[in-house]
Amino acid sequence: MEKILELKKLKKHYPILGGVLRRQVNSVKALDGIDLTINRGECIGIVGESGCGKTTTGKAIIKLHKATSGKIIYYPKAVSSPGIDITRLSSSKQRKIGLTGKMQMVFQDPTTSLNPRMLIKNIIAEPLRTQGRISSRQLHEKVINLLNLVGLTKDHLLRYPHEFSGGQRQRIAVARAIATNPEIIVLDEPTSALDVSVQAQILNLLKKLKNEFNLTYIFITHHLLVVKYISTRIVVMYLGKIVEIANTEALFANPAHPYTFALFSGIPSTDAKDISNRIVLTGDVPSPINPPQGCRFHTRCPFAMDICKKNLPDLAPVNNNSQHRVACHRSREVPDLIQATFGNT
Amino acid sequence: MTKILKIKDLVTNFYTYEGVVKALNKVSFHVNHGATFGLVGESGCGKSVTVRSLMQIVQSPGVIEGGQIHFSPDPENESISIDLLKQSESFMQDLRGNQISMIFQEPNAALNPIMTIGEQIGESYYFHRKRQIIEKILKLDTDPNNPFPEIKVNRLTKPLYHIALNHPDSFLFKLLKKIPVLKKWDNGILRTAVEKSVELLATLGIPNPEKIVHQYPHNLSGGMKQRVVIAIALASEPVLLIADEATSNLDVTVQAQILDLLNELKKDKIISSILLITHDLGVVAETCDRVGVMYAGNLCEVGNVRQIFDNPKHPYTKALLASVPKVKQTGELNSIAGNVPNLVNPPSGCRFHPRCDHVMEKCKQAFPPTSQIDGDHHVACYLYN
Ligand SMILES: Nc1ncnc2c1ncn2[C@@H]1O[C@H](COP(=O)(O)OP(=O)(O)OP(=O)(O)O)[C@@H](O)[C@H]1O
Ligand SMILES: Nc1ncnc2c1ncn2[C@@H]1O[C@H](COP(=O)(O)OP(=O)(O)O)[C@@H](O)[C@H]1O
Ligand code: SF4
Ligand code: SF4
Ligand SMILES: [Mg+2]
Ligand SMILES: [Mg+2]
Repeated sequence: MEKILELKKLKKHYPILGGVLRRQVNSVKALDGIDLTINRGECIGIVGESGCGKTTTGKAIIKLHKATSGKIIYYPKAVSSPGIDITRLSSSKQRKIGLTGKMQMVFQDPTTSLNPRMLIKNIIAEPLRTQGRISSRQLHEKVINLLNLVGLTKDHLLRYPHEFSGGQRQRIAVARAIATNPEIIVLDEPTSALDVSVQAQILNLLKKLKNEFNLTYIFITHHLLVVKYISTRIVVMYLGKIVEIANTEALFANPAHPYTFALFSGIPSTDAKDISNRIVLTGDVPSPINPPQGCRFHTRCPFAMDICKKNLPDLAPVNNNSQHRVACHRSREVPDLIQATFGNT
Repeated sequence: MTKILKIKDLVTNFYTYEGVVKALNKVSFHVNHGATFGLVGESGCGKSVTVRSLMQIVQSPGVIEGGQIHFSPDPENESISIDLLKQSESFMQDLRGNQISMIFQEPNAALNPIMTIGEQIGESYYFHRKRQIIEKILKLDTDPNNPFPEIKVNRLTKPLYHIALNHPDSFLFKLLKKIPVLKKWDNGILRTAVEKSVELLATLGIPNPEKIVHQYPHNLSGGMKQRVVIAIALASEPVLLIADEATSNLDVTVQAQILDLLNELKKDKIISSILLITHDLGVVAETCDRVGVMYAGNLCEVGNVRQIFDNPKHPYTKALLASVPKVKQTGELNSIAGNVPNLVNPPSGCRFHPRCDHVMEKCKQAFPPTSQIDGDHHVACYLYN
């Protein structure tokens, strides 16, 4: 496995300004120090509830906003170097070493992410133009090619976004994202605004494109079953921290963090057999302005002990398996605790 | 089992600039007393328009153009039934929030930002249960351990309570209320109503309800607000609760809490009949007894929940179920080719025909009649006709 991206102690705090002088009075700890290595060609899923910092992570990676601290080290294919910390790279330097457009993002809401006054052909051509000089004929061909790739045709070139359905708009957003031959695409809830029957079309399309172009996906969603379908590895986040990370099968077979359990049992299922023994948490996600001390999940965890309120647990391997890591003081006992408290899951 | 609600051939259209949106095309189903009925389908299929038609709160270019809605509030006697479409607006106003309560997706829209939680639930209580509270107050007056010491029923106000109870619409009562010292005669009831709301919040699993009643909506999280909305809806002891995407904006763990709560309230008989609207098939599977599947303004299939999920018949129901990612899913996800149609120009005949794998010539000509599969299970598709 070859790494493509490494996040090191990545933090993003949004300042909260207050008082007459608009000074910083506090901050939203949206992302509070995460370490993550992403491999070339994988699809890593990031799941968690609203406000846990998923979008913040995605935006930091594509440099839509500047991380507060930490490093994002990128190992591009073309450049044989020990890796480049892109948090400190100016955009001109980035262009010089040919990194522009290597990372792209597809957003949740296809209605607001596409400029309503631009024709489809210009929406898709825009990133190609910023990447470098290209003849208009080549551009035209490339755009048609991209449209075909996402299941649209050249009849759609001269239309505006509002003339498309949600699913078609998301296809256009995907075409624009892959236009610059990126290596990494951050997909932020790309199907959440879509109907289930259309969601399946987009997921199948994303899978196809990934194999065709050997893309690396960072797939953000609040829906565990959607990532299960598309990801090989899953990261579970809670209040700006990673609480568990594992290969998809391992996570589904042996979840080790109580929060992961709760997420699993929260999914309403159409399957009669699944409807039993679930853990229903009490309370809501606390505010990321003043996150709880110690383990951030302790205010809602059915197994919290004194130590949980004081010490922040490390993200440590489960059963000496370095692929499966969990941040919980009682992770060893968790499966038994769940069994004892909530019956057989 | 008796039916609380029978909807027959409901037609609702919206007269927009683009043309006539044929939102509901002869929708028929019924809801049983003491049961939860789920209405599911993808966005725009007409779920909300169905319940808005039923409550007669369809927004402005919309017109209900046909059908019957029979409402039978008495579980013992189904024959006492009224056609809601024939009733006056004042009758409907009385019905809404009284016998039928609704909760919506967006709790913020349902809550008043400048009233405390207690005042809002209390108001609903006061409005709908004034009588009950007055009776209790009059009884408690003779009780040395009066739990509502703040309510002073003295020589002056006692007759007033009696009049309020027995002749609330009388001219005398209206006149008496105008006398300055008596103007605030019902303060005590109001306060009692707030006390009752503390109890109700506790039933709904809200921690520290005695503190929460003094807080404003913006102090609460989304899940808490939705519980408050449920509390307001339940304060009037409705015979039918309608929940339109009530959990769709919540996080999964919080949605699980609310669904759990609805199931508990149902088990404890605090709520009797529920009409639950959602686009999430899983939510239906976990809370409903019967379910109706809608597509583009038509009801395609209706039946017992397990019949529908374990043995779907309509090609749309089958395809929809197959496109939902599942826990034990492996391999490809099934998708349905094409998009949900625009209802200004809906497809002819069976509205699903452009996306259906089994389409036949007759499917394009006329809408398929409804056929019975077995017992309660009905489907509108030519494959079963
Ligand atoms: N521009 C901003 N300024 C201040 N706070 C912000 C900003 N953007 C996000 N936040 C806060 O940071 C936290 C994490 O937000 P983020 O958008 O990353 O959440 P998310 O996991 O993507 O949630 P969702 O599932 O709702 O999209 C939230 O508490 C959010 O309110
Ligand atoms: N106020 C309105 N004006 C015009 N069309 C409307 C209006 N409300 C609903 N519709 C149309 O009616 C159809 C059904 O909508 P709705 O019942 O809200 O769907 P859902 O099943 O998602 O609740 C849709 O085609 C929608 O566009
Ligand atoms: S560390 Fe403690 S509070 Fe946190 S998840 Fe583990 S048991 Fe629960
Ligand atoms: S009636 Fe015809 S088009 Fe409609 S669902 Fe049945 S087979 Fe398909
Ligand atoms: Mg987000
Ligand atoms: Mg709706």
